[in-house]
Amino acid sequence: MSTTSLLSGGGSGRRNLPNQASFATTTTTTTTTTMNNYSGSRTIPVSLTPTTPRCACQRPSKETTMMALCMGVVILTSAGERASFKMMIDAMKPFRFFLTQLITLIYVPIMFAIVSYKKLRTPDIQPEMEEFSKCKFAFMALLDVVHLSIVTISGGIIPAPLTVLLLQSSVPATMFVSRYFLGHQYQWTHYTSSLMILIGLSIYMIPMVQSVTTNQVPSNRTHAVFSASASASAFSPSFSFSSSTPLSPSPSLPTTTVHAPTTELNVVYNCIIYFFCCVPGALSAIYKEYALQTQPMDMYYLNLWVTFFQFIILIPLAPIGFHYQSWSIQSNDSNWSDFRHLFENIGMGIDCWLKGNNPSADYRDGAVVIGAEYAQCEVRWFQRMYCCVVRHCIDLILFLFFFSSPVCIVFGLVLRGMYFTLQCICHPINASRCIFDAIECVFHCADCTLLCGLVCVQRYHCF
Amino acid sequence: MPIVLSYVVLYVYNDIIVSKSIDGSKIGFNGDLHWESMIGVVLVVVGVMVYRGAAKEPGTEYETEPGATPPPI
Repeated sequence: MSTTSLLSGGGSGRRNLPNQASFATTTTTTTTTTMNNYSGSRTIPVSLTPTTPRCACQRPSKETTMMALCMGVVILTSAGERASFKMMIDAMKPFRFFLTQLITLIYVPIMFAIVSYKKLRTPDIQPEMEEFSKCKFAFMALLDVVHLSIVTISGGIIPAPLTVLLLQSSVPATMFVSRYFLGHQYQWTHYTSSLMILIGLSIYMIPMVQSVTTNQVPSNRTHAVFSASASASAFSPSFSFSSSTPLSPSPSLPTTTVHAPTTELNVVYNCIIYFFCCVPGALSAIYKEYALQTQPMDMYYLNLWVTFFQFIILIPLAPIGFHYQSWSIQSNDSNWSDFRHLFENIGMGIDCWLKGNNPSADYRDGAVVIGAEYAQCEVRWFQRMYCCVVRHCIDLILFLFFFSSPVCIVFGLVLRGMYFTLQCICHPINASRCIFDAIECVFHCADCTLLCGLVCVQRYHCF
Repeated sequence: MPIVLSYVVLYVYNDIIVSKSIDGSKIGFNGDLHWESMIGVVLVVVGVMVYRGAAKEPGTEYETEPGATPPPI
């Protein structure tokens, strides 16, 4: 789901737009807003008793406490989403294109479950929504795919803290695109703040540009180049496979170096590309606003179609994306630039995702962060489900019937993460890394438990 | 707030927990503590806060909450 969350810092810069349908937009990032189709809304009783001013020493009400708690959860999960997304990319560095496909694919069954429920049990999916042109969905998906691919692939090489800042470029981008395509008028505060963001980003990158122009590359900075053809002994001692069954060498791939000097220029190029990824993101947001101005639309129905088209569009774009991935690893690395190795790369990506095999990392528990990331995404999904439960008070049987598989995904990933963490602790390679992953895993478990508890509590109150 | 929190978490992840010299994503430059970088971070965060706190953006309005029954007069 491309939910570029405004809260998480990757906001599209528009508070009143429907959510993008990609996860990168999660990531990349967009807050979910509900569209104007809630015909099944609850009526809220209004009390006519006069309100008396509260004493300053009065204890906060349950609602205030719950609101503060929810805000804290939202802030933590938004920040954690951004961080865990970067960690996920790092954990699957040689397989980022596969990761992009996986991100789009994983949301299709989730959205399908939600839309199925809504279509069967609520009047939210109206016939005119189903008559909406699918070509428009496909165009939205195309723009989102470009945005998501850049964020995922280029995000793997640029410094981690910079990703958070560069995503803020979506604020001025959305403003300018909206200004020139839709003719919206903004106030001087909008222009000033957008200018501040752009200046801030430029200033932040000054040391990087200076480093490139002076060509000062410290000798201890090396780049881990993944080579599938290298034998296990060819890897430096710092490299290890993450499971007892290492990937089998491929005779079709050329043998190359494992370590090579880093080209900082390449990092700068990817930073610039990452910066401009906000343009397709902004275009997507504006196009959604334009196409849905007079069209009632359910957010989940929209997301279902957009994520579906994203996955379909990524298939013919595979050679380009694969080449772009290899280029963003290192300019002179030709191992993965030949798209004849595409399927091999995808196969190894699946292996990495399922078994935690990541030969390019120095730690053997890459799957922990990947599992944690998806648990994190599912936590956001839980937040949405919480709203759904509040509105419709669905009964337990239907809840389990429609949502058992996503719930199993969440807890399965958390358990898998715990398994890898325990395995890592039992056979430590990088102690600090293991501890960090264990803490992260516990954090995600707490997240899931808390949100599940919120759902249960709310459901209890509904009945 | 999430921006600052994300930045701090990723900074800790990038510069402290995981060594820069191992992975390609931790390379680039070591300028997180340079004065330019600090000014850049402050400007971006303040810019986003000012933008969010500024007057309402133009554009189509969508309901974000179920409609409540208006109070009886």
